[in-house]
Formats: sequence, C-alpha cells, structure tokens
Amino acid sequence: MSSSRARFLEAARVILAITLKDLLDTVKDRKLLPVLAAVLLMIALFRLLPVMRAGDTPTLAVVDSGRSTLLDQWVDSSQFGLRRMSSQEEMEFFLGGEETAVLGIVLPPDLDQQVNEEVVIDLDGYLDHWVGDSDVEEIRSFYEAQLAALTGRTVRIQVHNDVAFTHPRGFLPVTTSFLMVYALVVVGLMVAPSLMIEEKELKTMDALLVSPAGAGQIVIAKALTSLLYCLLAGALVLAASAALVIHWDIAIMAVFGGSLFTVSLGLLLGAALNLRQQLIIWSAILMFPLFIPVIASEILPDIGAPALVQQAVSRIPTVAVAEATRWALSADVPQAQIDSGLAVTVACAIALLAAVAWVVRRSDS
Amino acid sequence: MSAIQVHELTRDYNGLRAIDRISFTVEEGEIFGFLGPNGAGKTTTIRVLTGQLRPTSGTAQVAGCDVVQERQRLKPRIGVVFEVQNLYERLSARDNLVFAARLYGTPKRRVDQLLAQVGLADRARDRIKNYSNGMKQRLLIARALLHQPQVLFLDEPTRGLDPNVAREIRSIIARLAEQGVTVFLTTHYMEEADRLSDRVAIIDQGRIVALDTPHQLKAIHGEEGNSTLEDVFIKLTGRYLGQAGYEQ
Repeated sequence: MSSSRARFLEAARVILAITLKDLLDTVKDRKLLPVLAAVLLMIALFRLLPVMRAGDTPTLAVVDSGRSTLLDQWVDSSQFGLRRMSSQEEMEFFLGGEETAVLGIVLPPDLDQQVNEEVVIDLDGYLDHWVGDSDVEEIRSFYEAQLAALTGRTVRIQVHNDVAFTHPRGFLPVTTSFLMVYALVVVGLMVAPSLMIEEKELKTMDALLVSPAGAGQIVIAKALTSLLYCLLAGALVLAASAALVIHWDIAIMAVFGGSLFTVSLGLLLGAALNLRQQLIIWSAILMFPLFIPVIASEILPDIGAPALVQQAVSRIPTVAVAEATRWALSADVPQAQIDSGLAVTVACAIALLAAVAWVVRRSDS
Repeated sequence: MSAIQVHELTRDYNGLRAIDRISFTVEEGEIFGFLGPNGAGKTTTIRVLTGQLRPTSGTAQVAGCDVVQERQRLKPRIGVVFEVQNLYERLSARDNLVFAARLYGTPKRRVDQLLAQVGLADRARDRIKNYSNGMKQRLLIARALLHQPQVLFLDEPTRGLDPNVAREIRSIIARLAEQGVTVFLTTHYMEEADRLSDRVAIIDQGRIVALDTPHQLKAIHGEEGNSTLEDVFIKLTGRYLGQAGYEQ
C-alpha cells in the first residue's frame, strides 16, 4: 500500500472515530434535546398559523372578464369573501401568496347569458398544488353549493391543482424560508461550538492532540457530526413542508449549503471560545447579523431600495439560503441567481473552515 | 538506546522562561521521577516531550522521534496520563476506551484486556460521571496503555487520591516498568518518587538542580544518615513543601 493511501486511510479512521464518539456523546447529552425541541416547536408554530386562520370566512378569487352582474350578489355573501382579479395571472399570484387554500375561479364571459338559458354552469377553478385531494373535494363542494344557491342553477367546478404558482414572497414560502434559516442557525451555532468547547473544558482536547488525531482531522470530524444534526434539522423543516416543495434539488442544496455555513461559523466560535457561557452570549449576538438580513431582504423591494443594495444583501449566506428555500417552493426559478447565492454560501463556509483549522493548529503549537 | 534524550531544552511562555536549557536522558524501561514545586516547569516539560508545545530552543527525542520534526510518528509511541482527569463523562469506561482504540487503530480486544488489568471490568458499562477519582485514574492509565506505547508520561498520577487508591496506582506503575515500559513520572509525593523511581530529577525555576538515583541524591545532598528525598528537595530548592505550594 502506498504511503499516501495509508495516510489517507489513517486520517479517515481518526475522523470516523471522533465522529462516532461525538454522535454517541451528543445523543447522551441532554443539552442537545432543547435545541432540537426548539426547532420542532417553531415548525409546529409556523404550521399552526394557517390552521388557526382556517376558521375565518373563506375567500373566493374571481376573474370576471365578462363583468357579470351576478358578482354583485356574490359580494354580499356571508359565507365567503370575494376578491376580484383582473387576470388569471394576477389570480394565480394571489393564490400562491395565501397561507390557506383559496379557490380561484375564472368566469366565462357569457356567464349571465348561461344563467338566463338555465343550463348547468361549468366553471374552471384553481387551487394551489399543495392542497390535498380531500381538501380539494371539500372546497369544490362548498363553492358549488354556495354558487348554486346564489345563481339558482346547478354549478359544476372543474378544479385544477396540478400547476404550481410562482409567488416566492407568499406567506408559505417566506415562513418556510425563515423556518429553514432558524433551524440551521440554531443547530449550527449551538451544536458545532459545543463539540469544540466541551473538549477544551474537559481537557479532552489535550488527549486528542497527543493521539494520532491532527488539528485538521478534529475539525473535519466535528464538522461532520454538526453537519449531520444540521441536515437533520433541515430535513425536519422540509418534511413539514413536503407538500409545498416543487424543486427538491434546490431545497436540498439550500439545506446542505446552509448547514455547511452555519456549522463552519459554529466551529469557528467553538475554536475561538473556551467556555459555554461565552458561547451563549456570542451565539445570541451572532443571531442578529444572520437573521436581520433575511428579514431585510423581504422589506427592501417594498421600500424601493437600490438594486445594488438588494443584490448585495442577497449574497449574504443566510439570505441566499432563505431565497433558495423560497424558490424551491415556486414554479418558475431564477436558477443562476440561486446558484450564485449558494456558491457564495459554500465559499464562505470553506473560508470559515480554513479559519477554524488555523485557530486550532495555532493553539496546538 | 535511550527512550528519552533531551538536550538544552528551553521553552519561553508568555515572556517567562518556563524551562531553561534542561538536558537529561531516560533509559528504556526506566522509571524517571521528575520533581519540582508548582510552576517549576514539570508540566511544560511533559507538554514539550509529548509534542503539545514547541520548544523555544534545544532538542528532544522520545522513542526515537524528534518531538518537533516527527510529531506524527511520535504520537503512537507515547501514552500520556494528564494531571486532570480528562475523560468523556457521559460515556461509559468501555466507550471511552473503544474510542481510544479506534483512534489508534488498536484491536478492540485490548479494551477488555485493559479494563480487566486495571480492575474495571465489572463497572465497564457505567458512565464515567458515576466513577470515583480512583476509578477514573485507573481508566486514564488504561487509556494511555491501550496502544502499547514505548514511553508513558504520568503527570501527577496519584494527586488527590486516597492512600489505598494511590497505592494501587503505584503498583500498576511498578508492574509497567517490569514489563519494559519507560515511565516519565511527575509527582509531588517525595516518598512515591523515592519508592518508584530508578532516577530522579529535581527541577526548580525551569532548571534541573539535581539528577541521580534517589539513593545517591540522599547520600550526596542529605545532611544526616537518615535523610529523606524530601530533605534533599528542601535543601536544593530552598523551600518546604508548603512554601512550594504543595497539597499534602
């Protein structure tokens, strides 16, 4: 066996040994449970918001190119609220932005005439792609009954929910992206540095450094363990949003890139700090520069911020991860923009990992 | 061949000279006692000899490896028992040793052998945090011996242990020397150093002030016929144990 191959195998053995030990240790560490519980709680909270609004009066979005007189009656309905849309595109954009299932219907231009001729009225209805079959049926039945009562005719709605709408700034894409960034940042900034700091607090790092483990191998092993937990947190968010996801490749890239970035940042914290108390303070401080740009990226277009500013903010790793997550839930995707954002995220992660290796190596010598 | 060769070794630390041009050799299978007050440079010397710290100047070879140039080659040849009980508290004794075995590429059967050897086989699956200090110390020795090192560094291995456990640890160290393991031992228990060590070096303010067998040290530096190593220590360092910051 060549010496380089032997060295590689030895490095792999050392990395695997530390990773397995860390996995076992973190499973037995009760401090990790609250971190994962916080992520699960946020997922539950975000997913409960639409459910809590489900009791409100449902909204019906209507495209009425024929300016039907019937709509004046529908507006007065106490059973549903009416939203007039000027075009099908506008309606789809509206539907894509809602947190609950909203039916959109396109009225035929000759609706009034059809009603007068006492024929069965056939309407085309639209629901977002994530609405389940049973909900589709329930919504369809509800509106067929309501519209039949208002028109005095039999109404049949042909529901289309096979097309995803593009609304990356809609409620569900935005909340899912916030949730994703939250999960990755919290787990990355709590698990990764803890793995390093605990080795220093217990002085087990000294034992590691006199063993065959080198500084770089220790960093890689810690990164692997933390990555596994971050990927688990990201997977939980995606699992809770599975019905919304259209582009799984983008969603997975966002989770992977985001995890790599937050883990690298966490490891740098862990390499630089020596006590858990310091970690709690620094993690809390770091949350702000990581989260505020994500929120700002939502607001900047609305306040007419210069394109250059918006573009610069979109290159911040957490913003890039949030945007990629949002676009993964939309039909049309600006692939180049997503790729460049995630490439910057991964590049930042690599730079941070290099800094971690440097800090550990320096303390090692 | 010498297991440890140190020549003019110096290490500056935060502007202070922690060890100052020390030179000595330790032969294979020898128990070498390294005595000195707190802050004399004992732990710094161990850290340099185990490759954890780079010397400011001078050279050192341990188990045939230069401690600076051949650090990776040195690592599997040495075992270290640190002054602090640095174990993974949430894991069991067995898990701690299995981890060390994986790190060194040692067969796992050695884990059970070592656990039996240090008398922990019955409690192998208990979490370390439920262990007494004496049990932890025995486990630390087992961990250091797992990969069968040529040279074993023991930094205050009986510190804070009750007399019975300390005696057990001493008998383990004596057995190791019989098996041909070279032992580099720092301790502040003079009687322990006297009983265990083949040779003793006394270090004070970073410099070795005496180096010989305990018998010879007592003969040369002792003032009365029944001088102890402690008397020699006090004479050479000019301090009583209490002044040197020792715990008794």
